[in-house]
Amino acid sequence: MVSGVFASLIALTQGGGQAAAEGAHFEPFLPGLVVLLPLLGFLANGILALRHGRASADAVRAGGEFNLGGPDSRPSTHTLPTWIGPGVMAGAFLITLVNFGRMLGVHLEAPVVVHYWTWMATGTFTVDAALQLDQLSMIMMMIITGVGFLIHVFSVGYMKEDPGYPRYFAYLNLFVFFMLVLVMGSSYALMFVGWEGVGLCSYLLIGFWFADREKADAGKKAFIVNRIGDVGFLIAMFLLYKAFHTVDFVPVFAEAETLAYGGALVTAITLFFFLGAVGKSAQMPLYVWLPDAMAGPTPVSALIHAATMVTAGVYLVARSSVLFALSPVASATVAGVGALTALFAATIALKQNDIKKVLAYSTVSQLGYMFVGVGVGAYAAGVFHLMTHAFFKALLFLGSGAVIHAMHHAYHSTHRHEDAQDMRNMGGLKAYMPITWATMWVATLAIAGIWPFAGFFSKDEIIWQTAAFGGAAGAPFPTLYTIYWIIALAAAMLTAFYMTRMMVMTFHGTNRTGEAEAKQLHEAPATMWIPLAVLAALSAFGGWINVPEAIQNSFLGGMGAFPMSEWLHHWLEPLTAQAHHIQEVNLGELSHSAPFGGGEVLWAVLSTVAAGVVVLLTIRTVGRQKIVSVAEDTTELTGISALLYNKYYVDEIYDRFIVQPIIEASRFCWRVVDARIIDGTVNAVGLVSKGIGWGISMFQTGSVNTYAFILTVGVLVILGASLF
Amino acid sequence: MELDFSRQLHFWWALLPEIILCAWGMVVLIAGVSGKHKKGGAEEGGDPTLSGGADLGWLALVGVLLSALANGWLYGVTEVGRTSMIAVDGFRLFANWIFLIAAALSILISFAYVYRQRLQAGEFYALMLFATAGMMFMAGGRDLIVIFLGLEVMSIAVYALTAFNRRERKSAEAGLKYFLLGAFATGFFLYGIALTYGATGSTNVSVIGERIASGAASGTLTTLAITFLIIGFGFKVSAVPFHMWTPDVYEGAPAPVTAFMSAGVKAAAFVAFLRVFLVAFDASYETWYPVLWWLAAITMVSANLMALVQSNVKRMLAYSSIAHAGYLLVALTAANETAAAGMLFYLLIYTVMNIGAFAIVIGAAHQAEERLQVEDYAGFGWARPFLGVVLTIFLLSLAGFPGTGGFMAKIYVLQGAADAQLWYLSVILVLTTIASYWYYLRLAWFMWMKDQVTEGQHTLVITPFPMRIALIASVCVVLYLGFAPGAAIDFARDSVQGLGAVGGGLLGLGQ
Amino acid sequence: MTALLESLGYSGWALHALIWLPVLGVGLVLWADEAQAKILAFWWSIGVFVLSLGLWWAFDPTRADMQMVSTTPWIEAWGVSYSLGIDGISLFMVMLTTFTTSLAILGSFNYIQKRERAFYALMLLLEAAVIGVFVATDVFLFYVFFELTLVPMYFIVGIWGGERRIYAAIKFFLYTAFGSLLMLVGILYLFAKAKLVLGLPTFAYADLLQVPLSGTEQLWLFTAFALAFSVKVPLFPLHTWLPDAHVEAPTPGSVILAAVLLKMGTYGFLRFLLPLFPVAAQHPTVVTTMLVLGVIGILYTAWVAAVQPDAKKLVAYTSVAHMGFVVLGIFALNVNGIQGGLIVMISHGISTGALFLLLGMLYERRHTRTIAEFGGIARVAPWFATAFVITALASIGLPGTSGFVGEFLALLGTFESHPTIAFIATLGVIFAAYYMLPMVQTVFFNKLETDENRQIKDLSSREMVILAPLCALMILIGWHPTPLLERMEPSVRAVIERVEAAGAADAQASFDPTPDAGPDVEDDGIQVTDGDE
Repeated sequence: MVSGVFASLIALTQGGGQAAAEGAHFEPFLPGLVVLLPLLGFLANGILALRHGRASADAVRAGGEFNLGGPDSRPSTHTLPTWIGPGVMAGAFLITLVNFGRMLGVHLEAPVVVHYWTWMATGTFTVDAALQLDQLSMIMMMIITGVGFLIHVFSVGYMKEDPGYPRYFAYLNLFVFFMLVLVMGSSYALMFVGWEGVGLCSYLLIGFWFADREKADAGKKAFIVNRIGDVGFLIAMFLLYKAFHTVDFVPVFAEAETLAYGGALVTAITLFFFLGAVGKSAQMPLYVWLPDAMAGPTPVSALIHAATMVTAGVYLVARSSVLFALSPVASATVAGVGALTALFAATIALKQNDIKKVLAYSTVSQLGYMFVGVGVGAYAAGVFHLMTHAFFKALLFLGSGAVIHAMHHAYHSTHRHEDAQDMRNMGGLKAYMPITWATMWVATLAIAGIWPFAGFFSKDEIIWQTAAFGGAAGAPFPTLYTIYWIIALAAAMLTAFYMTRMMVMTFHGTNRTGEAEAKQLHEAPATMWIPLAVLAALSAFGGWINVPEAIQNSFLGGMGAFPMSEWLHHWLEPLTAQAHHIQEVNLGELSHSAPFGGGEVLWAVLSTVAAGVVVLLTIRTVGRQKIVSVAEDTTELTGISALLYNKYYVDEIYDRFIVQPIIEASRFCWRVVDARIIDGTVNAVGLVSKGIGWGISMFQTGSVNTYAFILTVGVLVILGASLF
Repeated sequence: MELDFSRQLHFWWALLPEIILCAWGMVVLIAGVSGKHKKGGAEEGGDPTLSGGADLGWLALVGVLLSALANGWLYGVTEVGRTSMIAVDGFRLFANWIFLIAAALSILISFAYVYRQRLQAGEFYALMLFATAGMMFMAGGRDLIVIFLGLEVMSIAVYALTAFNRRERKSAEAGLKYFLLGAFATGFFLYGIALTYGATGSTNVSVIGERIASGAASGTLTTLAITFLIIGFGFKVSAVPFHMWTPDVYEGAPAPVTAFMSAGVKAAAFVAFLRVFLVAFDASYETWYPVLWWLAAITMVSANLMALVQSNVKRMLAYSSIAHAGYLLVALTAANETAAAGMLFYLLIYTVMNIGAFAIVIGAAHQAEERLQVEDYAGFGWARPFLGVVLTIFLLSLAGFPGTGGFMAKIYVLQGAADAQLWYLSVILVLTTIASYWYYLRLAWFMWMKDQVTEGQHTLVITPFPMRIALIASVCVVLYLGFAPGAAIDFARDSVQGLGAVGGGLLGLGQ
Repeated sequence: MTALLESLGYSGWALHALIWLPVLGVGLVLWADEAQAKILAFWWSIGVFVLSLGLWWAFDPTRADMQMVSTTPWIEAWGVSYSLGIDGISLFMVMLTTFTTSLAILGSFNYIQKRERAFYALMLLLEAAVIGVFVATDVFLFYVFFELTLVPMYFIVGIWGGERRIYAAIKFFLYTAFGSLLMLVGILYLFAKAKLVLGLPTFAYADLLQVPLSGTEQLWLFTAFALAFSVKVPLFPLHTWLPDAHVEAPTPGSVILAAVLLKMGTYGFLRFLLPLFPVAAQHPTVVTTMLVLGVIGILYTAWVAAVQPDAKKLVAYTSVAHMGFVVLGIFALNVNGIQGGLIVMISHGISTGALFLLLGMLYERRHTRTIAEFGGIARVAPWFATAFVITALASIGLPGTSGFVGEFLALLGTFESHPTIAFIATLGVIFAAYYMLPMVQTVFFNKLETDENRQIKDLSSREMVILAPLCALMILIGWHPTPLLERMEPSVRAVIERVEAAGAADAQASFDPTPDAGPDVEDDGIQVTDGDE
């Protein structure tokens, strides 16, 4: 059967291929279905979840808890989501593969846009519900459906005993739907639908265990912080509309060059778009939500907060490469924010003890790298790192999930309420979870940038391009780029350190979980480790699709046969060509040497060697440190350690200077402005009216004398008025 | 038939409605002496329509009906010349309809009251008829003397009616107050007439109008005359600051009398006011316009504000009637054909809705002077849905709400003001209307939105058959005029046509 | 469908029937048994709704003018006629009214426990009056209906409301009457002017459009009309009646108030303010004032909403914020903005109506609306929570829901003409999340602690029947608003063109150096007065 599927797949692929031979014709294969399948999965799972929720509610109302798989459970609440959730993902992935295969067969010059219906049309403004298929969206689709599928499979094992099982898959499917809309939408407006939609799913999934107030809070925080960025996205769209009267990609990019290079308008557009990206991709200063987002189930962190959603900002900049290329200021800002974030988050990661927090800050940091890449005009490099990062970071998260899963079970079995995520409670897990240990080491080496793992190629290209861009003849702010370059190098070393620290604390040394608990520790089940293995393979070899020409031609390349030299670069060429052209016209050729001399190969070698050294040193030093479990840990952090451990107190600062003042202001508006001033005025009008009425009524004494007197006064006044 | 006032007899024809009323008043009076009607009773249960003075009430109604027939007959009559003492024009006849309706409704709602309060039915109804005749004289008089005569006939009858319930201390006190202050005001009115005569050498409004227009009159004297007349009329229409008597008298007088005078007396005074000022003092518009402007403004504002703080329903309605006087003064200030027609239309609707509202107040007060606080109406609507709905409609109409005649009336007056470009006055009118919503709706909220304080609180509410006739008739008129006012508007507009012709063109016309 | 309607002569009688059928229903409900009243009222309102559905097909989407016009003289002396008609702007308001009234009635089955006949009679009366507002093409008739809506609402709030119902009812009444009475003076000014210029008394909308007004006159009249409509909208700072009215009103009252009555204000902006006073409406000071008030409404009320302890009050304040978007859209004075505003109106009607229904259902279960009293009830009422979250998301304008389409277009339009203001207004997107999510979280998420909350029942099938169409519409409009947009476009365009034409004429008047060529020209005997600036 499997071979049958493959046979038909190949046939489908070649359907496009043959057309290509005739005239480079790409025939999209059911692109709508790619989007629709996860949506259908969401609906099916959603209905199951609600049905299940009814039964669960009855149990809760009766004072108990719902026991999944227990006598209350209908078989459908577990079996069906298990098949539907990953199933729709498999379907979407297969269709994507077919399309990918077809696109491979042709050299697609212009994006293919498939229209479905008119979404909004006011007479002066039209947006279609249309999907755009091109090289960039194809890469993204591959990552989303591929990695997404693996994570769905992993979730089957991970979430197995969760009472919210069907709901979980409903949300996850919905997320994939929105993510696909984000990358496949043919206009910024449609992209925005996905953009906010994934934010919603992120909100729902972070707060998946909503009974825990902190988790629900984390979801809310993510949503609100994301919305700050979304405002930027919206404004950017308005500006685009003002400039081009459309927000569709194709016409916008076609006319983009009518805008002045470096002009205020294009700079504003791109900066506002970047604000959106900063929110979504957790860059400074809006990164604060991502570490909190780890409150969600770990596969969610892998899919949403590492592999896909958070990279949407990078996708946005890459997609808008033409616009960003037109604005050197915006590009420098992108790269600058990226570089700072990369460094900043890496320093925080140094001191975290929560395994997921380390990964979260690492994600923030790596996203920073991607922005450096797209900020220096290396759009392909940015996307490249996005892709490799999706592999190894998903793997890291899933691996940590496997660890947490095991730890949780261990503590659960002995009813101890210890932190299952704190690395101080781990140690020595290698013995219990060898597959997890091995695969995670692959990912760690990848992220640390050790040759020949995936991260080496992608990270290195970004670092190199930063140098090359800063050295270009017409480059604006060359010093700035040198600083970025140094930061990028430094952050890479920090990455190597904290990742190794994490590995050592988790897997090496002695076990600190507890004696009784340690007996319960076990390797993850197959549904969980198989995805780990697949991702490990991708993390190990995924980088080879885009080996830089320089390295390919050097001794490093010679050691392995890299058949796909600069493949991704070429693949994305039709989309980035315009941006590169703009760059070339305005900046001149890129530099061929780094700021302090040396070529691409030299620095690549230097960095990988340095990273390797850091890894080894870290294994040594951290391995020798005496780490005690949380319960016994009494060390008071001081100085820089405390600063790093407490994440530079950024959350506290935001709370003190932004959140609390807004709440205070809101209270003021309500209690003082609304209730006292405005409503007070309104009520005062009534009261004063009554008061005056009461005052005048005072003359109504009942005495005829008074009446006659007032009458006379009236007479005199009127007489006086008429006569004089 | 054509009336030629050089022939004595023709005066009799021209005054037929008034004469019938006066004569019929005598008849009722005499019938009342026969004794068997005298006794009213305070005991409950007996149907008040069948005993103790009810037949006198029906008798009085016959008189009103006959007078109405005569009034209708006068439409077929034309007069020769326009300077006779008695006007036979649409204006007067329209006003007569208002008085007759006021009289009829007041009589209908007073049956049970007269019975339960042991009032002298014969004298009571006779006085009502006399007062009505007096009002008609005011409306029909084209000579200041006739108007004065009418005023006195009406006033003296009403003074007596006010004090009629001699067992009630308040009633007697109100009568005395009304009389004293009324006498004071009448003095001004008389002075006004005298000064007018001094300035123009005539008491005939048409002649006065011509003399003033031709510049033959003395300026200062005219101004003084106008001022005094304004004071005299202002007292009768209870314009602020000459309104002081109103709340006390309205509160003290027997409720049906209050209903009658709040509608009839005011209407009569306004009609005469309009005729005198628009015909006689048309040319002095610039003199009296600012005075009336201020009177209207002050009246609207202070009356509505004072009404806000009243908790006695009768008193609240008293202030409301002052407020309505303010709105009518706006029409007078506008002094154009639209406003004149608007005033007639307004008075018609005001009469109906105001007496209607009083009718329910009388019923709710157990046909006596009790339970007059707003709080007493708690849960009234749900206990007595028919009365509740009807009273709500009257209140909405008094407030000038769409769907009721009161709205159309207010619109008509505002149109007059718009034609005269009285924008500030219009704004004051609508702003004070908002204040009035509060006190009218207050009654409605007690009726519908509060629960009865004690169970069975409203079971003693008495609305006998004649009162129900009055209520149904009034509510029908209010709603009919709210939905289809076209015919009445045309009628009012036609009715003021002749008036303009006499005075040589109303102000504001042909702008 | 169109043919069927045609054979029934639908366009001839439909609008009349839409007003008078509910009135007939009032009689029937009052006459019916107390126990049957609600059933009868519900099916009656469904009948009215079904009848109104025909408008969708009978309406010609290509025309900009009034359709299905019928005119009968009413008060000839004043030139008042009973004339009805709809265009692309009022079409949806009518349908929204009939739709939400049905659902509101269905939603009050449990809430209203006493004096049911009277209640349902008032609901139907209210429906008739509101439809009248939207289909009247005679200004006098419009005013009558506009004011008439107050009475049933006054009683609905005052009789069936909460603790402070009387205060709320009277406040609502006086506040709104304040504005509308000033408008009445304005209408009479127009009327007097029309009588002068056209030589005949008329209140017909089409005639009043012909009345030439100087710039100063327009400004004054604009102010009078704008006051009336701004109170209704409500526009900051005239909004404080709304939270009180909403909180005290019974559920169906709140639903109708939010879904329909507020729209009368913005509808008035579109129908009267812009076409009648085009010069004033585009006067920079006026536009800026309205836009700024709209923006303040969006941000300020979002803040105030966020700290409300009472869920219903919170939603009430959000209404003000939503209507701020509508005001922005309208005074953007372009096609995008106005159409966006209209979609916000529809969307707000649906989503806020649904929110009030949901809060009402919650209140029926728990007899409190204090947010802090709740917690974790998503666990015992998952359908309820789902419906609430969908509605809340539509309310805060998440893409893929109706709220987004409207807000996006309204902001887009505003940005076209006033970028700075639109920029500030867009911040409202953040604050929408700031007020809505904490409420959703506290009520539905967090720990399920108290026993009362544990016993909260999930949606009954009747409640699902109410909420399903609302939620479906939110999403449907979110993804496919085109049928709505294309029907409103011609009428909106006509409004814009009228405003722009006046602006052009005005500009010509101000800048034309030769007085002879000025606008003081005799044209068909009507003197065109100049722009008076």
